[in-house]
Amino acid sequence: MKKSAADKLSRDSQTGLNALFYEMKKNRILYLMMLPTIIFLLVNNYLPMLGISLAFLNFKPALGVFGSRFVGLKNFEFFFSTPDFFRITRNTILYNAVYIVLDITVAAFFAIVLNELFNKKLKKLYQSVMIMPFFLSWVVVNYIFFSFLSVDRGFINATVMDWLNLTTDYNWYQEKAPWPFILVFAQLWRYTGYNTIMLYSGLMGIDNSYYEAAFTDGATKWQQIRKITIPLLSPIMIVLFLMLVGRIFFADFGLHYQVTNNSSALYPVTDVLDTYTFRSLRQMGNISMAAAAGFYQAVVGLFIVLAANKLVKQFDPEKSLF
Amino acid sequence: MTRKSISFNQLNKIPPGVNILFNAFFIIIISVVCIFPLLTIIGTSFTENRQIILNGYNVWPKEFSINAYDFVLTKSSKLLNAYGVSIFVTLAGTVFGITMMSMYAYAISRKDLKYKKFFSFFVYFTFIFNGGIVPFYFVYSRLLNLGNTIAVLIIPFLVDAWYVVILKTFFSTSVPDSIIASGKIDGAGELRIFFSIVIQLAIPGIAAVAMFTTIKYWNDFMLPLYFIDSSEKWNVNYLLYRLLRNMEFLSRDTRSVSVSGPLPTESARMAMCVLGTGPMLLAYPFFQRYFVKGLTMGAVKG
Repeated sequence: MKKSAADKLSRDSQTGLNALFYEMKKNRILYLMMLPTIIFLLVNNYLPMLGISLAFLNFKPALGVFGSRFVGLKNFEFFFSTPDFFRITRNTILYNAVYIVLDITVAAFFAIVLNELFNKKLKKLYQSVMIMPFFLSWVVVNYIFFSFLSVDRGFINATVMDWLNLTTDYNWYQEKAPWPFILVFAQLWRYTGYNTIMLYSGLMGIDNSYYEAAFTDGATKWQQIRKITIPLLSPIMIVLFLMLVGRIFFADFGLHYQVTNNSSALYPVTDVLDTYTFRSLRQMGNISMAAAAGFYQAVVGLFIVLAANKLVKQFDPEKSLF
Repeated sequence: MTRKSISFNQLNKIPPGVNILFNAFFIIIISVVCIFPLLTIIGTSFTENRQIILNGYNVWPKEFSINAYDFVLTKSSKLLNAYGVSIFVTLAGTVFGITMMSMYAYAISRKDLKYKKFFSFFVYFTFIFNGGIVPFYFVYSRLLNLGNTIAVLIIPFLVDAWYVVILKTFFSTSVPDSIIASGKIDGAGELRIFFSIVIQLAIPGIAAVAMFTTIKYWNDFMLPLYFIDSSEKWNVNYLLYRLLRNMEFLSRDTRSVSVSGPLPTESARMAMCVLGTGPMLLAYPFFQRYFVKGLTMGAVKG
């Protein structure tokens, strides 16, 4: 009885601050449970958002934000006039575009083939092995690539070339030409298993009766794949595609920093926004440049995320972020 | 009914020849692309160092030797120390992170929480916009003054917005309102309902997120790269990274035990790599079953 009276009272006073206090009191435990994460997000995410204003300062850590001189758009003028600006923008977008397209098509191919195999145990085995690279860190991936590409001891230069009766001192970490392919391969190597399992679990969700109907009508397996499997898988692929496109302005730091061994000879073809910002900040100590590049990435990235989300929303409202 | 569907599944198959072809395709791909490179690292770690210098890295040890492991495990303190850091950071980060994320996700999954929309957006917004690495770096190194501490290897990864969203979805689909309501009628407080009822029901989702969090902490090299200077606070992956760039570092740090002859630098490096990846390679088959669960909840790489 008492409780319902309190509820009634609350309904009467559900305006303005009263409602706020009432809610805070009623669900105080729930709000307390949220408190650690709220504090975390404020410090770890929201405070750095304000921090993008560093890009407009001649920031000197010793002087702090308020002691540093305001320089307007100077940092951007400088950043946009360097050749790096075009280079890292091009590399970031082109690499990500290739990764997205290949990731999805290769994984879809693997998932469809996997789905047709007879033996269930082998299917499990293939999945288990394929996913393995996903659990390795980029540092270990660097070791693996290094053991193949190292100039004097790498498997390719020391063993494969030996089999072919050739001698070579091809310096993989100094030659730019093969790197677009190596990076694309490394990216596929690490994520194909993961993506395949994701799309494969999407295939599992397709109702068997579609195939039964097609089979009774005399459709061949190839026709079933073309007319049933691919069309029913494509909604997942499109949503995945759009979500990845939303992140197209953010590069995989681990891939581009570790697998290339951070070799400066390769920067023209491997450098991306994230590695550039890191180097400016931590290796060259050029905070203004790093801040300008970071601001550029954050703002352009914001618009791309918003656009991609809008497309996702049109396509499948449940999958959109907001 | 059952018999019919079995016979259908048996009839509606690719030709046996094609099946063999596809299997061969998978076997070749996974052994050449996934297994062989890993075996190269393992094989090299068991090879006598001078053979590596002569013949390069290879799968099959021309001269078998466990010197590298002996050196790494008994004569250098670096790896064991880094192991300690990695284990502590991974455990603490996963436990605290999972607790924080699931408490938050549970609260915003509750329909009777008035401001749930606002607090959901509070998380979503961090997806849409972030300040980038520069302000992030200064917040931790200057403002919080956590540079070169163990804490800075843990705190930045505690909460991942994406996992909060996954957990929220999991709570709202797998925990019926009626269970929470009946818990309340029985007089259980919010905390008790959460810890003894809700968590039990959401174990698969929590396990999936715990797995991703564990991987993220164990495989991290970025936080030490940004924040840690002194080598006793390096984790395994950052130590490996430094060793790949400069093996001499290991020789400067041998314990008082004198090492006879030249250091097995090449094989020791690979032995470090094997030992550093070991825990992940041993653990991932167990992780795997939660993995698909985590994916089918609508998770996409993030």
